[in-house]
Amino acid sequence: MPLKIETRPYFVFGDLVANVAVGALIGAGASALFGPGWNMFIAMFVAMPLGMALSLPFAFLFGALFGAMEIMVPVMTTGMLAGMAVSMCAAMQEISIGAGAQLGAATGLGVMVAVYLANALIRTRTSHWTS
Amino acid sequence: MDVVTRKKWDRAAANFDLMAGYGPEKRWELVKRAFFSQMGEGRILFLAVGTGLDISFFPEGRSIVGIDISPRMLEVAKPRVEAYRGTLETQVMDVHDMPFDAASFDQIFTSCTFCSVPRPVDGLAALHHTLKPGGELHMFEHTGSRYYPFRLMMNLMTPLSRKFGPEMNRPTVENVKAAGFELERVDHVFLDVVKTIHARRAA
Repeated sequence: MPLKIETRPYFVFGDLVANVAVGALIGAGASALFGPGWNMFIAMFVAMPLGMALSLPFAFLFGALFGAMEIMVPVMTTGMLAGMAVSMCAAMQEISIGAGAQLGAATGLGVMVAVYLANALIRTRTSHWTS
Repeated sequence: MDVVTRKKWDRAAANFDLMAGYGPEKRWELVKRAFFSQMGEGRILFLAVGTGLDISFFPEGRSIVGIDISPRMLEVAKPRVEAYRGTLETQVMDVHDMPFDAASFDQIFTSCTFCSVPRPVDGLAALHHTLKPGGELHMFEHTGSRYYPFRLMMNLMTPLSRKFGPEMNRPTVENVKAAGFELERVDHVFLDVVKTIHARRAA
């Protein structure tokens, strides 16, 4: 059975830009906010909801151009995970805003790839899962 | 009439097309065209009309009653309703208080509706009541996800999202079954979040 995956260039481009941009922004913000003075786990629990909430306006912005839940779900997941990853790194050692942005962007790219794979697997199984 | 829900969607009406009129409609165009192509020759109930973005996907020549809880949404939808080549009658109505006779529709279609209906199982039961025995329910909906981290994220966001629009974590497939429908098929459009649900009232 062929995998069902988004291949339309406009939407692939939109997904890429949205996740990488939001990951970079949240990563840069997290690297500025958190530092070695923070307990790593407290930083993580603060940064996850904060990153998710801050990504919401960007999810709406990119969503108006590229799709609704297809943008909102991965972008807010990117916000949550970029916040988590960068805040934990920043709590362990000083990292620059640029490095935080890079790590956040990489997280965004990873989330996009993971969502594409998950989407392909779930859609290929179609009606077998019913909730 | 649920006044709180009506006011929420009345407020959203002016800017709704700005948010939903381009990206989401472009992305879902192929799926929605196939979805609405299942509209048959009998009497059809469609909810919720909203600003009428879905009307362009309807096949021509059908006999459709469209309802929405928001009069402002229907005002925005008016040009699209008038442009439809078929019979499309719209009414301001709450799905919980529909005045239709029992078993008066052959098919019911919903589009991103049951993320917002305050009492979804009661609303679906009301649809079940108005559907003829053997009649079809076709839904294009977004629901919650069963997968981490999507489920966590959507559960956390729902208290915020319900203030200005839909809930993001509804178990709509389970609600369809709870309302008495026979579930026939679920097709996932995006993850297990956006999906089409096809069910039937027992003959």
